[in-house]
Amino acid sequence: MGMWEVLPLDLLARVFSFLPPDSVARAMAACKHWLACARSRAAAPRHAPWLIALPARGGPACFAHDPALNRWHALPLDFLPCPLRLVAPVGRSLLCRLTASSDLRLVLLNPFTRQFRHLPDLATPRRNPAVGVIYSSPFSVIVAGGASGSGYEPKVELYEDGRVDRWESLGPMPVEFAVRLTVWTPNESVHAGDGAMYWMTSARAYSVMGFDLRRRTWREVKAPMADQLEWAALVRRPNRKLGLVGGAVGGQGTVWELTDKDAWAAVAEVPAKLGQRIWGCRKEAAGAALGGAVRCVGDERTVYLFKDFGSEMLVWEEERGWRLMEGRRRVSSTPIKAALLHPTLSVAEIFHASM
Amino acid sequence: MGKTIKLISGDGEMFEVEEAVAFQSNIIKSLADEDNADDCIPLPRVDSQILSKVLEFCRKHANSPSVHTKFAAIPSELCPKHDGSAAGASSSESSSAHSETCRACYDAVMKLVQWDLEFVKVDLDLIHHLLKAANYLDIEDLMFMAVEGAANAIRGNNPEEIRKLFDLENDFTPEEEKEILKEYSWLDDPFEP
Repeated sequence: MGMWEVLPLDLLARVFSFLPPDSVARAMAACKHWLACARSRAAAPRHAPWLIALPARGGPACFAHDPALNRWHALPLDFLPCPLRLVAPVGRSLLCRLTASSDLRLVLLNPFTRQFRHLPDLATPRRNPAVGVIYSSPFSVIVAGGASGSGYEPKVELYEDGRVDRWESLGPMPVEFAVRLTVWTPNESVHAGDGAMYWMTSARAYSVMGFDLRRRTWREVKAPMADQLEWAALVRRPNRKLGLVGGAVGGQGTVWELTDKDAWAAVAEVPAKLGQRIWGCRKEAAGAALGGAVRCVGDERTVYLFKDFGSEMLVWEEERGWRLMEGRRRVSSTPIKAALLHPTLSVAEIFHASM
Repeated sequence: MGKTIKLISGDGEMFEVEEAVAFQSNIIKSLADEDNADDCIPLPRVDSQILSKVLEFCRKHANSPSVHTKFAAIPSELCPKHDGSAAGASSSESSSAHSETCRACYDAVMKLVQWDLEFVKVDLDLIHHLLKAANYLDIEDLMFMAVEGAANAIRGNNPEEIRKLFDLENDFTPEEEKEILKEYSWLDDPFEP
């Protein structure tokens, strides 16, 4: 038996971690030992994550963008029994919700390995709540607000994966926060190093809600340039700080970071000419969705700004600064929800939790 | 020669090397720190042929920072051109600023990277041994290059070519192999709506 067939799995997994996904796939087809290794072990990702977009109304496929080759792929979703809508990335998988259910029902999905799993139903069913993800190992999910019956649901619930198979109550929240989080459904959540979960209202004037998980208290943090921002989104910054990316008329845009004193420090400015290419120069007519049309997806290292998936993207990296990534063609004209995800071909253990 | 250390390979050969060379292995470094009376470190799991290759690598890297795993800039104290005469604080910020602007440092790093790439352009048997030795001796840069060497042999090749290079027995039926490749065929098809 050749020596490469008996190499310790951790070392072999490290070799695979240096390979792009298509090379890993071909390595998997070489022999059973290599297949088992690549399937079972995902070494720490070394390449940049891919941009994954799910059509907002569900569909037969989702789309993945490989930044190394600037290429889009269609990942089939035909193995799903029901359409899903993306909520947030959680580790190397996606947290989604069932599109057909008005009450929130969450599903864990990995479109690369074609695995999915339902999370247990909420203790108090509700429509349109805010969802926050804490990615540690295992992960946790927080649900706050939402509408139930004819009123707003003030109960906050927590699900810790792998611990118990149900949601636990974290007590009530102030009603005004429940209203804000329900009516203006926030998109991404950021779990910051200060122990708080942050969401941002999706309408102007933008404001940020923070839920301190230890003290179980809520607070509001005004967004910078709150009245002028045409679009804004929260991102994780290095050192687990909270970041906010926002743009205004004239191609203006900034990356901010929340400091200890609840003040925003500007970290980077978008060169106006580049910003104009993505979100235009003039203030759009009332009713036109300028703000809604600019998508912002980011993690600690990279921020992507784009209007349509497949068209030109503005990319920011702390060391490299801003650059434009050429668009190919419009990959999807339907509304999409996007997240950054490291492609993995390993069968993830979190899909085998007690169910 | 500075302070040296004696290493004994698995097949009983003795290698005397400078500490700066040997201490790139975190294992050797911690064993030496343990106050051995005869300062002779046995390495039963590495034979002399591999150990001499490992030491060749370490000798080349002895006075450079960890270029691969930390992507560190060369601190100005080690700059071949400035020989420690750089003024200013020696914080990592000024170090990276130094080598970003210092042509001599940039060239030195690139030369080292080139040497490393040549070093691992060897047969996969040797890479396999270097990989295990780097893991056993905990030498970060050698581990990085050995893994890179193996990955290079896989990249862009189809399963049959991979099997030939790595001497792997094909224990799949043709149908099984086809199934696996089919599962990931979407990776080869860029989406054209």
